[in-house]
Amino acid sequence: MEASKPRKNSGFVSYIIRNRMAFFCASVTLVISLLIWWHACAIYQADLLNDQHTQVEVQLAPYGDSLSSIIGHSTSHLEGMGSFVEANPSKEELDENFEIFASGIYSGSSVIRMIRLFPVSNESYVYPHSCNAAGYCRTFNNLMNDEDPARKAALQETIRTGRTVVSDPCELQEGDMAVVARRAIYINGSLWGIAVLSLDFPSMIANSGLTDIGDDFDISLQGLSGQTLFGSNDTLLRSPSVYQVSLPEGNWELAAVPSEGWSASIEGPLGLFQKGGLIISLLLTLLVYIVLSRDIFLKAEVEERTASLRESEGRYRQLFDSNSDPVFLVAEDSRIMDANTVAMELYGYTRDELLEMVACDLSAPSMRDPASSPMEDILKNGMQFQWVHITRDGREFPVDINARPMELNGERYILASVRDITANKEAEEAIRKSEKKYRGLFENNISEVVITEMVPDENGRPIDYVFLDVNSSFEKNIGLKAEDVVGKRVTEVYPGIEKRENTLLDLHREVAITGIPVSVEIYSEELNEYFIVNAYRLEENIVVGVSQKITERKLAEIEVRKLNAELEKRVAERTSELEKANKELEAFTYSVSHDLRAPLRAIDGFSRIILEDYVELLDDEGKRLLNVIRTNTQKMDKLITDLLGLSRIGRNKMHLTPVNMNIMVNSVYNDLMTNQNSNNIEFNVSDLPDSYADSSLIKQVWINLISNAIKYSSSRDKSVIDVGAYTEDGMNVYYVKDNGVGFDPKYSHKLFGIFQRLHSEKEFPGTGVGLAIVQRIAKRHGGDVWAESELNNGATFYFSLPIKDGYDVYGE
Amino acid sequence: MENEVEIVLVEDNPNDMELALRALKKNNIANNIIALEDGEQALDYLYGRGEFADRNTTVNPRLILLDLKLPKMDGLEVLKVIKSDPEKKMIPVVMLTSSKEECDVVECYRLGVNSYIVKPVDFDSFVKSIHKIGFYWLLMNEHPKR
Repeated sequence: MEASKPRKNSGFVSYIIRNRMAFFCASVTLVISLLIWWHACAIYQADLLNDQHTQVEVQLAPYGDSLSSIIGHSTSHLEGMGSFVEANPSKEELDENFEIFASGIYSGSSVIRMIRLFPVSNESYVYPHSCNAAGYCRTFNNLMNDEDPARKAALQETIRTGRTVVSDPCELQEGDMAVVARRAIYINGSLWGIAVLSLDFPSMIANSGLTDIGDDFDISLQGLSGQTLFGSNDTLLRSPSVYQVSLPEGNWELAAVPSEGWSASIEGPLGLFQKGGLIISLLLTLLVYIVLSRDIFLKAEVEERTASLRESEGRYRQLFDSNSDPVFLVAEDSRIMDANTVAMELYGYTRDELLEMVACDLSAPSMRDPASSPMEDILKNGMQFQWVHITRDGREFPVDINARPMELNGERYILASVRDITANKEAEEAIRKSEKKYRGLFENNISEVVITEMVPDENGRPIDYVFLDVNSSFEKNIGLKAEDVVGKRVTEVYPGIEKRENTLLDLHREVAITGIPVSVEIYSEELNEYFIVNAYRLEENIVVGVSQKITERKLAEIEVRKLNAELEKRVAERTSELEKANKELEAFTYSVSHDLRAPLRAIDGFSRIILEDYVELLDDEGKRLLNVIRTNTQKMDKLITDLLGLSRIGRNKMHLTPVNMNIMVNSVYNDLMTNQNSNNIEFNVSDLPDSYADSSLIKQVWINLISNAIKYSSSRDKSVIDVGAYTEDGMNVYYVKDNGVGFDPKYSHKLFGIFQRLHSEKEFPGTGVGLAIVQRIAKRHGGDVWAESELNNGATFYFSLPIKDGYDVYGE
Repeated sequence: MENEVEIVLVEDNPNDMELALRALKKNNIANNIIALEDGEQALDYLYGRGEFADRNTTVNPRLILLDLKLPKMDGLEVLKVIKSDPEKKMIPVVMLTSSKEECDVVECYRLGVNSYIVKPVDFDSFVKSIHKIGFYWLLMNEHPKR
């Protein structure tokens, strides 16, 4: 995978290099065609624009002509006025006829607003008369002296030429726009006066139809002096089409632009042309590229095929030489023509030696019979066969020969590939041996072994199984012959097994489905025997069952279980008996404490009454004797109390908690000292490890040991009591050491016995129960107690507690 | 008032009874004591039954000193009856016993005993204990009926 990637890349690169020419040509084609396209677009655009202009001009022409004819028609009345004046030169005639003449002109035109005559020598005439009122009745002299340069120029022009001069529209006094046409009237070569027509500009425009031109065009009408008379100034800036509206003197220019602009008007066809051109140019490029690269590719293909042929030729040679099996080329007459290196190595000959040999020289001597030579068959059809060959040094070995006939340059040859199958033969032998071994394992197994194949129902779930094989132990132990079982279904061998539960059938089905090996004990109702069965799935649907009869063991087990149950019952009985006995003991201690005390109380109480009520009847000896009685009753009470305490230690449950021994020892000592003088006692406590114990019981231990130490050292001037601890063998050992009277070591075994005392009551009072309590508490905790002493030389009492649960760290 | 019984002492042992009465007397609290011998009698007295049928049971004694171990019906049973009766349960009951066995103590407190005295063998300490109890329950503790 990794290696193929760069090769792919280099292929791509070489492809690019091979196609460099094609790429180049295509690029050039693209550039040129794009240039042509660009140019064509420009030309086409200009053409389109031209067409558009022409079209616009054509459309404009009727409006321009109309306007021109309206002006021409109106101003032609000026010439008529000249004739009228010629016919009526006198003032009288004019005064009489002007109105009739003017009203004729006026009513005949919708454009003419005002008609005036300005004779040089006379007053002016104005029609209609309303204009008089508006102040248009000026004299000829007024006109000549007009300040307005445009009007003055127009007047001089018509006087000079005698032709009609039309001015650009100007504002009338009433506010409307009007075009004024002037014409000098000459009679007999001399200036008679001026005729003036005022033409209503909006009416002119309306009559020409320009106002109805619609939204298709933006138009503009330019006057003589270049100012805009109608429409928008902007139109001029947008390279409009211009139509010349001819006036008697000069032209107005009517300009128009399509309202959406020129470019928009040609957008449709131009866009089509541009896109089409672009597509053609790209297609052309692609075509050039495909044609050129195909050519190059073909050339490259030829080169590649040639190279690969050359390579394959070499490879075949190499294959021949490097084939892992010996390969021979043998001629028709059995001579060896070629052999590869492996052949030389295997047989131990050089190539030259082999080329001198014939094929059967390689056969083992036993195989050299020419009659058995397979040459003929090989030359006919080729064949694969097993043979025995021999090496140069005489080693014979089995071979598998694959020999095929072939023709080279018209000659017939045999190409033979030889495989040394010594290893195969050995493997076959190993398999045979292994088969024998496992067959032996199967047959001689003392367990019953059955191999079964599951039978599925229509849903593919196993419901039954067929015996494929059973071993001799099966025949012997189950009592069924192999031939009666093999090939049969278990439901045939044990009819009704499918109806029962926890059978071998269920077991095999479970293993077939889950594939998990199981080992179970099964009771076979069919055989009335117990078996332990190990079943596992050998392959899909094949389940092997290995079973052993365990009926005897099973029956013994059942017996043991029965005995166990009985035993447990007996233990329970004993336990309840013990509990009963314990209860009785409790009742006993109860009555001891209660009933034994009552008489004591009476003895003590009544002795006391005697001492109080009859004191004067008694002498001192009598009083002493009564006090002896009282002392003894109290001692008896103490004995009972101690006995109860001792029995309680064994009875009550222990509550184990961590106990801080230093705190406990100090509190015990302080309690003991409450009513006692501690001045002559030196009490030293070193660091004590904590313990895991019942704190009230352990407290009792400390009380007993420390009070003993105080008691037995009280005869010294100064009591010295040391409390300490050490760790030994997983136990915390605590000790209390005093400098008291000690004890004789030979009686130390009696120390912890109940009611045992080593000192007289007179010396040291006591009941002999305290140390017995200490021992019982220590033992209940799993510890022990012991003591060391020399008579009159102090004593040390030790007790140990097991270290538990992390409370073993010294001093913690 | 003079006739009202202030202390009921229930004790089966005549010696203990005599000692207890003496101890009470020594503490000057022996007025109006009625001494009974068993649990049944104690309940008869409290509920006006049997020989005490004439008794006005609406008046409760101010203190009951009850021995734990009694014939017929023991102290615990008597205590149970008293403390489960809303009418009687405010009467202070002090158990007298020679036993220090834990189960008794725990059981008595469970049943609602007011106090507990272990009768010591030493008569002097017994007198002291009686004094403490009498002082507390008769003088310091207000009678609920008053």
